[in-house]
Amino acid sequence: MQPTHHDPERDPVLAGALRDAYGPVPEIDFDRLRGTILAQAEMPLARARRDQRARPASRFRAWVPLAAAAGVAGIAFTLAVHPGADRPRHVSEADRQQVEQILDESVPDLSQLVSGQTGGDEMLNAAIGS
Amino acid sequence: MSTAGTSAAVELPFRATPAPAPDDEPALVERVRGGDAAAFETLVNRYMRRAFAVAYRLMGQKEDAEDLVQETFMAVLQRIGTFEAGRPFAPWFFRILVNRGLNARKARSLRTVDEIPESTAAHGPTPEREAERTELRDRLRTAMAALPARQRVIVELFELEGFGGPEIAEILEISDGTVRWHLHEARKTLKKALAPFERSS
Repeated sequence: MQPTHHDPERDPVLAGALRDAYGPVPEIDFDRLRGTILAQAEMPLARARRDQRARPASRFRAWVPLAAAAGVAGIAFTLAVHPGADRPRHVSEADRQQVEQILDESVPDLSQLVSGQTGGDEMLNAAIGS
Repeated sequence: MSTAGTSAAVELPFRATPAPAPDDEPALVERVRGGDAAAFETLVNRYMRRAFAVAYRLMGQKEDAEDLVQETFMAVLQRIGTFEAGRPFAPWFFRILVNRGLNARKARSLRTVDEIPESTAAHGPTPEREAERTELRDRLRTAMAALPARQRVIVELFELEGFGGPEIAEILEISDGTVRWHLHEARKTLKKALAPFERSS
């Protein structure tokens, strides 16, 4: 940090007297100190690396229940909006007329049955298509 | 202030103000967070010597200072997850070191005044002068030891290790004004202790 205008003024005389009283910082074997620090740091650093590797998987794990819930919600939504999706939903006018025509031709009118103009057996045979 | 017997010490060059933190420091810290040993080694190389100097001022013995530096780097690894990205690393690092140093000093009831190595003895030209300087040093150490812990550490960081006022404020988590006030009070006390040695040049 560079000195700023907020820095108190230096007192070189006092600083000198203090240095004289306390002496210089002794030289030590910094290579040895560095080696000791790095050796001690191996385990914590290894743990940090393991945690780092585990982090994406754990993030993914957190999404699994959400994804499952979203899937269930999606299926429920689809069923709610399109109930009976396996049934035909659109019958054209031409198809409807064709179906009615076939029915008219094959199934005797109920009034004919009631009036006795058509027998029950005929009606049943017509219904089963024989 | 004018003190007799300190002329040799006054000639000592002022310790250069700490260089500003390199731009790569946030990236280095981030890599250390991920367990990158090379990044950690870079930080160790960058801060080890300065950390030792501060630790030595705090502890007064090089073995204790070495222990403190080691403990500080281990504490950095333990707490790196809590380090606020984007903040400067140096004040955070030295805050850990100074706090641990102060706690250790308190716990061990260290009296630095008794632990100054003999190698610091000055080479006075005459026995009288030498005796006077020895007395001056003793008085100064005694006065320093009697300072409140916070004032003492401020003097050590500012006068002996060349830290700036704002940097000390950040390390100790106090305001610039409080640092200036403590420094002022400490200087007053120390000058009082040295008053008998004052000469009118």
